[in-house]
Parts: sequence; structure tokens; C-alpha cells
Amino acid sequence: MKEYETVIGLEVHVELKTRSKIFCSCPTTFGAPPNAHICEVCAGLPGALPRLNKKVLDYAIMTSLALNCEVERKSRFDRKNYFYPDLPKGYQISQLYSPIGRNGWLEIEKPEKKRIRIHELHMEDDAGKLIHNDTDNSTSIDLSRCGVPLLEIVTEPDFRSAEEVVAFLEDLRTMLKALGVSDCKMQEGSLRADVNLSVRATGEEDLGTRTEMKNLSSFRAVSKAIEFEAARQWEIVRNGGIIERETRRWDEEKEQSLSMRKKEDAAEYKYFPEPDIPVIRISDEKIDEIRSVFPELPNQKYHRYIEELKLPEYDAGILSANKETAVLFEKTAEICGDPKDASNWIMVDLMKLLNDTGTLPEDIKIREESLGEIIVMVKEGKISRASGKEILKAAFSEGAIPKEYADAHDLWLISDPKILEGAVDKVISANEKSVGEYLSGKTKNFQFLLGQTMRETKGKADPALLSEILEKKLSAL
Amino acid sequence: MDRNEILNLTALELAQRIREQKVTSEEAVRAVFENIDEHEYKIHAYLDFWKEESLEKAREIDEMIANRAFQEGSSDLPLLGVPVAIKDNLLLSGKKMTCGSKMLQDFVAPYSATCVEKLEKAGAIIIGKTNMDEFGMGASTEHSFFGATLNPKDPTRVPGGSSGGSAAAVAYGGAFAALGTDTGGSIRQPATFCGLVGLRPTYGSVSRHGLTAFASSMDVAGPITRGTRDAAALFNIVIGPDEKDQTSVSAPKVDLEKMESYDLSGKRIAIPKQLISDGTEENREAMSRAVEFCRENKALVEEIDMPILDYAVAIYYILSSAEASADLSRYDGIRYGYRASGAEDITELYRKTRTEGFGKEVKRRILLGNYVLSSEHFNDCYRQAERARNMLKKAFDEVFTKYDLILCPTAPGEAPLLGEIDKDPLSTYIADLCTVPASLAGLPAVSLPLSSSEKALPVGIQFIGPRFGEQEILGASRFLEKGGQK
Amino acid sequence: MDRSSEKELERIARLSGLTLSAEEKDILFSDLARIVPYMERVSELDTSGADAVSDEISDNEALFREDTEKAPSLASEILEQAPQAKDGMFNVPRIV
Repeated sequence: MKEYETVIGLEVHVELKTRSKIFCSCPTTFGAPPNAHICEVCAGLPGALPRLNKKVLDYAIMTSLALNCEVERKSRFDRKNYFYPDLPKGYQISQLYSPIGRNGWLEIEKPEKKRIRIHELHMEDDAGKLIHNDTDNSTSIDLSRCGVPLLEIVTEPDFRSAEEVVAFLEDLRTMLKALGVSDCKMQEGSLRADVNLSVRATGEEDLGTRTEMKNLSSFRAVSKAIEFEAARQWEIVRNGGIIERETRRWDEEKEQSLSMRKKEDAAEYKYFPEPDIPVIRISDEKIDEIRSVFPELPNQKYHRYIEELKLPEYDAGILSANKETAVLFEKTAEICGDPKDASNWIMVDLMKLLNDTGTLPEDIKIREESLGEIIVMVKEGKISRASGKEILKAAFSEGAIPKEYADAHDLWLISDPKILEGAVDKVISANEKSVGEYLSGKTKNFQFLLGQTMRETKGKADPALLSEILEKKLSAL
Repeated sequence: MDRNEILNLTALELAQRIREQKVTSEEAVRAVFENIDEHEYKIHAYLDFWKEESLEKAREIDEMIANRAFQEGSSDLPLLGVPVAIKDNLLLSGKKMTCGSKMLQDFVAPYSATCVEKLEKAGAIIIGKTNMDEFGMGASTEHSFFGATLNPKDPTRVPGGSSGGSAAAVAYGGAFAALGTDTGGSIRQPATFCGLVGLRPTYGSVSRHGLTAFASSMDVAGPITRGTRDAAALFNIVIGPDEKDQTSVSAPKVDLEKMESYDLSGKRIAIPKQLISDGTEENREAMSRAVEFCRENKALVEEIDMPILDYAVAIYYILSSAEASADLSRYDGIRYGYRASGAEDITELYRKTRTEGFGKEVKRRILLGNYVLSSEHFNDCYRQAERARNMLKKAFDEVFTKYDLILCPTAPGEAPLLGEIDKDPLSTYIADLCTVPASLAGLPAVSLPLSSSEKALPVGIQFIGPRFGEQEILGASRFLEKGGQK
Repeated sequence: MDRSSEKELERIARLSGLTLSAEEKDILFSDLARIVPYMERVSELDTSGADAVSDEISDNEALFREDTEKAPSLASEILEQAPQAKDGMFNVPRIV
């Protein structure tokens, strides 16, 4: 048993996938030229007022429900006041006193089943970007990102390991993508996680002093940072030292966390209710309406795949983790009528293609029906399994339509009995000796004769039908 | 018509004469600018005006009227050809907007305020931007970076504020009407001091888009005019919900004919005793004449007790300063406006810019706002004031279940002498007692002048109505105006 | 405001993004020393029955905006007003 325990809570920022910003109609497109997407509202000009985007509210309610939160029926925005050059108005429009969602949870399956409590979920606007210039010792400000809608999800300190944190973030990402509310691309900053971490001796009940870690741009960084920071803190505590309340920055190259600022000189935010946006009243009807358009969530899919479709847990986990794999699996199972077969083809053959080409599951581009059609063709004996794999590869890489591909590449098996009978007759008459031996009891010659007929049909005969005809013909001699 | 005849017209009368081609818009604009030439150097009502451009517009309008390009009596263009002024915290695209502050002395508005656009669509010619207390903070227009405005009725006195420039311009004939803005009384009080009608519309009925915020939950634009009919006409023009201001609401227009036939008979009028305890002799006299007039006309007038009003000024200064402290955070010298030179780092850039760019009164309010919002004082000050404000709203709701109107003075006395106000900021704040209650409750209020003699300085009384009660308060104002004139 | 605590005024000034000269400090201090106690009278009020959230403007989802984007038309005019700009960006003394 470890001598200490790590206690972790998360603050996750998610950029919402809306067309326009949270408080103005500027586009949210990532990677625009500097200050191309600014207007009087997001650049904080005099006289400009925020205009709340309905979709942001819908997405926030949807996410609150998916995270089992209580939805605040009378929600308000608050101004969070501080001066920073990436914040044009001198305040961020956020939610402190009545966040849209509270008291929720998300269940993780790895490393073991555990419920992570969600403290709250709120909406806010993103800040701009600062670019530091070494040449003239100045900082340039790009305000295009100002006003991109964010959800902040705050968990309770329920995590005890990096594995749990990563599992949570993976599940959260899967869920948010399934809901269609965010792309959750950590590299582009559309999913950002700050880690609040403290350590305590095993068995101790009181929480230790925590630090907050920022700048974590991948799951790997999250995991490394947690391990590093926990070890750093324990080293101090074990030697009788004191942990300082501070914000630390993860340095990805050095693989260590560095102090950014001490908490005592942290800004006082002077939150107060935002008078420019009316109180948001959320009715039961509104919540029902949002629930009614709710897609099945990944963890619900996971359990359904196991319980109803009898898939192994591992397969169910992979297939349900992405909208793309889940959609493909369900369509395939529907067409071929056999979930296990559908799962096998995806888990074995399609995954191999993904591995070979370095494609992520979410980037799969294949016509939904193709795999199902291939499986049916194989099962009905119209093509061989090898041809099925060949077609799948073509369907995956160049969008080939299975039937057309089989036509073009002459992959159809011969199942016309007359053609096959002709081939059998030909082989029987050409191999009198072998046939004679077979008839006198040397049954293993059957395989030889079958091989000959197969060769006669250039390997395109439906093997089952061919074998049946050969046997019939031989026994009739 | 000669210049004096023209200048004696109200805005609506002028519009009618222009339409009837009895006078041209060009003549009206010229008359106004002759007056500006004559008075402006001593009164200083304007921060900016544009004579040639205004004349050009006037000529275009005259030509269109001559060509019958406008429908006779068209109600879409009620101010066709009428020169009006706007307060310099309202944005007009392509024109400077300073808010009376060094901070914005070179700021050029890239877009127009919704209410300003509406005024232009109604045919008005906007001829200039008027002086004001910096960012609307003040009650004398002495707190302008560009110098004080004087009261045209008595140049040793202030015109009131913060919309003092708008009031002075209309008072000396430098415009036929003007838009001001009112957070805690900034339309009503200067209107009173300059002998004009000032309307603070129901909060939200006029879009705030393009109105530079001072205290977002109370700011509202409204008219300062020579009479109630003009005030009603301008109100009808500028109101309307606006997608660019989500706190804007749809308010009913005032029916001018109904307003003319309004009768006080049978109306129930309340006078909160908390609002009449102070005040000068002239003021009390004006109030008692008003009361007498109402009673003579068979209105029921009763004194009522609204204890929460004893706290109105405190509530107002806590909440408005808190909001102002955030509303003015955007002035940082980074994206526009004044920027201090020689700052070595970003913190210094902020502090130097704001310290040099803001005037004393603005800094006082920002400090006060930061004080009431800081964590030690938040619950006792801000939170408490927020709740008290809701109590005050409820108290008004209660009053309006029993009464049609509230009557009270607009200010404790006549216009103070120049320089008098600055000596004691707290007393100045307390002098807002009669105007801040309607501001806190978001209610409409109209101030109208009531002078005992021609020589005396104007004093004013105020009617406060329930939300969307403009028809009622303007009806009462018009009734009094007509009676008083008889 | 506590008359004795000049530190308090300095802290508030910092929060306000202002620097006060000695003279300004004196004036503002004596002003605020009178104004603040007057404001703090609100703490006497019994507001226990009052709601913190006023809801006269509510139940009006129509107020909120549909998620449609518009190409920004004022971007260059906004940037033109920058006291200092560099490569299409606002520019300030280097941060950290």
C-alpha cells in the first residue's frame, strides 16, 4: 500500500461548437487571421451589449442533463472583474451565484467503476490570445477568440489517480462529442483541463493544501503532470515541509510543473450579477424539449451493447466510445442481422485498417451501409471472405461501393449449378484414375478432385455449392 | 417667418411648418446656428456640432418636400427637418464621442446608437453632441473634461446634469429638442433647472445599444424638450425592442390625442412624505401650487409613507457605483481612447492611463464601486442594496395598486451656483433623493417646470408612473402645462 | 471606510486600476470617509424577506439570439483606433 494518497479535482473548459460567439454574431472559426473576427461587442467598445446565443444555453442545459446535474431554473450571468489585456471589457461574463447546472455526476468504468461528482457547470466567454514578441519586448493581442462560448465543468475532489482523471476526461470527451456540443480537441484548446491537486498520508481525513495546474494540452500531459506534482508535494510533506497554495504551469518539454503565481496575491474578482443580460428562466417544457432530442449517450450505448447485444465488454467499450464507430456498428448490425459478426468485422478488420493507416476512429470515412453489405455478400456465399476484406479496404480508403467494386474486379463467386456441373463433369472425365480410386474407398481423393474443379472455375466457385455438386456427381457414378 | 418666430416653435410645430412649407428646414437650421454663434461661447452646451453638414441635410429635406417626395402628414417622419442635439455619450457613426472625458477625447464612433438611428429615421437632423458630466457622473455638467456648461437662465448657475449640455442647448434655442440619458436623474434634473420638460422612460423601453454605459441596470435615454407634446413625440420615436439590447422591451406608444384630452379629475395621486421633507421655499411653494391645482381639478391627493425611500440614495450610490466600476473597466488604453505614455509594464499602463484619463468624480465612483464589491463589504453593501432595491420596487408596485400617479419635486431647489456643488460630494448625492427612486425601480418619470414668476429661476415637479405608464404621466404633465399656462 | 486605514484605500485603488497621488488620496479619503458610512446604512435594513433576483424581464426566450454568424464588418475600423498596433494586433508592453 502506498504511503500517501493523491486527491484531485478538475476544472474543465470546453469550447462549444456553435457557429457564432456567445454574445455576438462573429464567427467562432479556429485559426482566423488576427482580429478578423471582432466587433463592437466582443472587442468591448462603448455602448455595445452582450446578446446571448440561444444555442449556448441549449448546449449548457443539454450537458447539465447528461452530467446528471440539477438545472437551475432561474439562472443569471455574473461579471468577473479583473484587468488583463486579453479581456477587453475588464470583466469576463461568467456565472458564479446561479450556475446553470449543479450537483451532478459522471460514472467512469476504468480503472474501476466510480462515480465522479460534478460540483457545477457554467457558461462563460473565452478571452483573446496574447503573442509575446521578443524583438521589441512587447505583447500583441488578438481578440478573435474573445467571446467564443465556453462551458466550465467543475468536479468535486473525487479523483485519486491520474488513471481516473484520464478515464474521466476520455468519457467526458466521448459524451460531449456524442451530444454534438464540442469537438473537444485538446491541441486546439477546445478542451482544457486545470488540475487541483493535494496529497495526504494514507488514512488521513483532512485535505492537504492544493495547487492548481494549468497548461495541460494532452491526456498524456495531464497524466504526467499529476504524477509529477503528487510526487513533488509528497516529497515536501514527507520532509515536514509546507505546500504553498499556488497556481503552477506544466512545462511539457521539461516535464515538470513550475510556479506561476502565489494564491495570496491572486486577484479579487468582485463578482456581481450581469445587468446587461436578463435572468434566464428555464421551464419544465424547455427541459423536456431538450431531453426529447437527446441522443443515446456513450455509456448508455456501452451497457446496451453488453446487455442486449451480448458483446464482450472490451468490444462494447471501443464501439461506443465514438459516434462514428457506434453509428457504423449499429448500421452494420442492422443490415447483416448479426451484431457479433458486425462487431468482429469492425474490431478485427476495420481496426487493422485504422492502425495501418494511422486513422483515428472519429475520422473514419466510410459509407454507413458498406460494411453491412460486404458481410451479407460473404454470408450468402456471393464473394469469398478474402474478397470481403479487399472490398472493405477499398470502401475505407476510397469510398468504393461494395457491389460495384465486386463487379469491376470480378470478385463474384460462381453459383450457377449448370456452370459448376459442367466443370465437375470435365474434371471427372479428365481424372478417371483418381475417380476410380475414390469410388473404391480412397475418400481423401475428394479434396484433390474438389481442388481440380476449383481450378477449373479459376477459384470463383461458391465452395459449398461446388462441393455439393461434386459429391452428388461422384455418388451417381 | 423670422428667426424669433421660428425659435419660439416647439419641435412638433416646426416639423408641421416645414411640411407645410411655411418655413424651410434650412431656415430652421440657420436660426439654430445663429443662436449657437451668439450663445455658445458663453454657455458651452456643445462639445461638437457640424453646421455645413446639417445645412446640407436640411436642403435635401427641403428639396424632397418641394418635390412632394414625402406624403403629406406622414406619421413616419414626425421630426422631418427639425434640428436636434444628442448627448455625447450616445454614439453617432463617424462622429467623435467623448462622454465628456479625456479618456475618449479622440474616440470616433464606428456605429450609431439605436435611439439615434431612430431619431434620424424620423427625419430629425442631428446637429451636434452636447456636453455632460464625465460618463454621466454628476449633477451639474461641471465634471466635464472640456469645461462646464452654464445655465442659460442664469449663467452664474449650473444647468444641472449630467445631461446639462442637452438641457442648455434646448433652453437657449441651440436645438429644438435633445436626447439626454438618465441613470439617477440626469434628464429630469437639468430639464428642471433649465425650465424644460424631461422624460425618463420606463427602463428597457429605449434600447441602450450605443449608449455608453454608466450603470447598466439604470441607464436610459430620453428626451429633453420645450413641452410635453415634444417629449411624447420623441418618446414614441426612440422606443422599441432591439435585438442588440436583450434588456429592451416593447413599450406602448403614447397617444397624443388622448394625452390632450387627459383629465386629472378622479385621479388618485400619492405624495411620498420622504420626498418632500427637504427643499427650499420656492420648491415647497411650487409643490403646494401643484397639489392645489390637482385638487381643484378633482384629483385625490394624499401623502403616503414609503420608509424604504430613506435608503434610496444609499442604495442608488452602492449599485450605480458598483456597476460603473465594471462598466468603465474597458477604458484601459489598449484598444481605443487615451493611453498614458511612458508605462513600463502592463499594470503601470492600466493605472497610469486610468488615473490620467478619468476625472475626479469618476474616480470617486470607481473607488466606491470597488469598495462595495470587494469581498469584505460585498454582503453588507452590494448584496444588501440589491435586496433593498427589490423591496423598493415592491413598495412602488404596492403604491400603484392604489394610486395612478406619484407626485414629488424633481430637485430640492433651483439650480445651484457654479462651483457650489463640488465642495461637498455627499450633499450632492443626497440632493438626488427625488430622482433616484424611479431610477432604481425602472419606472417612467417626467419632470416639468413650474415657476412662480417670469424672473424666478425654474423649479420643477415630477410625476412618476407605473412601468409603461408614460401615457398617464405625460397626460398629467400636459394637463398641468396647459392649466399652468392659462 | 475605516479612517485609519490608508492601506485599505490603496488596496481599493489597486482593485480599481488607479494610482492616487498624495493629494488625491487626501481628498478622496475625506470624501469617502463621509460617503461610505452613509451608504453602509443599508446594512440596517431587514432585507430577509426580499429576493436577490428581480425578475421583471423573464420568461422571454425570444429575447435571446439565434446561432447565426455574420461576417464582422467593423473589424478594421475597430483596429484603426488602437493607440498602438502591430501586425494587425493591439500592442502593449511585454507581459511577464
